[in-house]
Amino acid sequence: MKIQCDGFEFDFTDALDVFVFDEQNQASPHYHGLSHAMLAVDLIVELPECYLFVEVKDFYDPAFYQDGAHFNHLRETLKRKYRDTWLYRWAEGKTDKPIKFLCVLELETALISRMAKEVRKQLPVGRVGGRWISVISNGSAVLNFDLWNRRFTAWPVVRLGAGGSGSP
Amino acid sequence: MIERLRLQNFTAFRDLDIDLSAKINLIIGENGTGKTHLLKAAHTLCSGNRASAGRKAPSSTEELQATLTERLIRIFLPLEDKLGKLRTQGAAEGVLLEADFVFDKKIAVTFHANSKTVTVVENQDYERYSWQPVFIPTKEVLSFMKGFNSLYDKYELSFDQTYHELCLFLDLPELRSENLQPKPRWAMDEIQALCGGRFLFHGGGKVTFKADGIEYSVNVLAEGFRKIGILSRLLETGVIQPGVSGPLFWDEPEANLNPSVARLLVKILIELARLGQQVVIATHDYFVLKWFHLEANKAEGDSVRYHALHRDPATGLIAVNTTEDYDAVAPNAIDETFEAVINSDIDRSLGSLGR
Repeated sequence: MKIQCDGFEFDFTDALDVFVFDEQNQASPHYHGLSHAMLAVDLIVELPECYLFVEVKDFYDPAFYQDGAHFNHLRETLKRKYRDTWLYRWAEGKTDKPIKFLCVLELETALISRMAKEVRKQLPVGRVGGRWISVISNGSAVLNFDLWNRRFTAWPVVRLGAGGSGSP
Repeated sequence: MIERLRLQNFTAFRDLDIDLSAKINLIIGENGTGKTHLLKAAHTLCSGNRASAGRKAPSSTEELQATLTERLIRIFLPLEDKLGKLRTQGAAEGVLLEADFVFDKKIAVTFHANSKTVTVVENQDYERYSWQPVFIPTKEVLSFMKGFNSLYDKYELSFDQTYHELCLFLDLPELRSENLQPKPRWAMDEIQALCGGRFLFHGGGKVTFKADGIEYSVNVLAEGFRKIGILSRLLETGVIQPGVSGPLFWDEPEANLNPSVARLLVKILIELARLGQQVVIATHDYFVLKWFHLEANKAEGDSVRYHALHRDPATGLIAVNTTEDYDAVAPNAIDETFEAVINSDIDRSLGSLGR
């Protein structure tokens, strides 16, 4: 299933459903309608065994996030997007499968590694609260586009050119 | 300043040709790709015409050949002290080591499997190449300097000559303060602030550390501080004197250095390069690489050249990719390691999803 988002086209070949979560078109069945109150991830993918929340960010200047304050701000944004999306989906009755959070950020590999750790701690992933009997995230991963294509061979992503044709 | 190095059939290198920046050069690559050998070969050729401990500067071709041979053996420590053991295994042809220096000076030497000495095959005014290089090896030396030089002169030790030379340099007297440039002075002050005190060199290799009016053995000090203390002392003695001294070769400066100190080290090296100091570093460290990328400023005329050594999958031979674009460094063993860690993390979190 192909879907376009932020200048990229993903192909989730084994998906049951894929849609833009933050849909602004009121005529769409996936119209979000609460953008004034809640942040939202870019894509939701339904697989047979789980849901994927997918956030896509292509930065003009990746080096900007070497700075601690900017890095932390990005982390907080990702966390809020995930939690608000989870809450929205809970209210929809759509937290019936495990949920995994995938962030595609055009950052260099070392920074990706650091952000992966931060996101995992901040969501948080797994049953980490001592009193929790449920989890709000069953897994997370942060990758850049090159890593994504090398890792997720069943979900290739291409950057869309000016004319709409993709390039790896 | 060395501008170009060519190594043929020498240790790991079947045929390597590398153009060096006059400022910063970073050699990266996996273990076994010859980073240290590249540094040592360049250092040997940069210093083969100089007087050294117990030997005057060569004044004839025969003496030059003898000096270069001795330096190759003492710096590379080949098995049984045989020059031929430095030849690439399986190579049919002889070894060539060739260096081009600034102002059209050049030296090229060859040797074969059974050669007793190298043979000079090209010499362009090499005798007048006068920029003294310095080599900082991986291990710090301040903790074992006392008595080391005497021992080295007398016995066969398992240390190559770069350790001996460094200890001799560190034991030199301090430059007159009017001869110390402001930036080296700034660097020494920064290092002193970082370490919380200063190193005192008493001669004969005796070194102590003084903080808050109290003198300590250097052995109580963190190894990373002893390492950066070496740089401070080389500035203090004028062995590193930007615009005057030859290249600074530094093998894995990050070893035993806290990653947070790497930034200061990089800042200092960039400042020295701006004053005309050529720097050639072999590193495995992401932080060293990244701080050079972030701290260097093209508007200030900074030049950081990345040399990625790798084994060519098609030929199995060591090759080098050189670029001044950080994002184009390839192959990048440091980056690949991060990717392996990320993938391992994803394995735990997502299993085989998406594959």
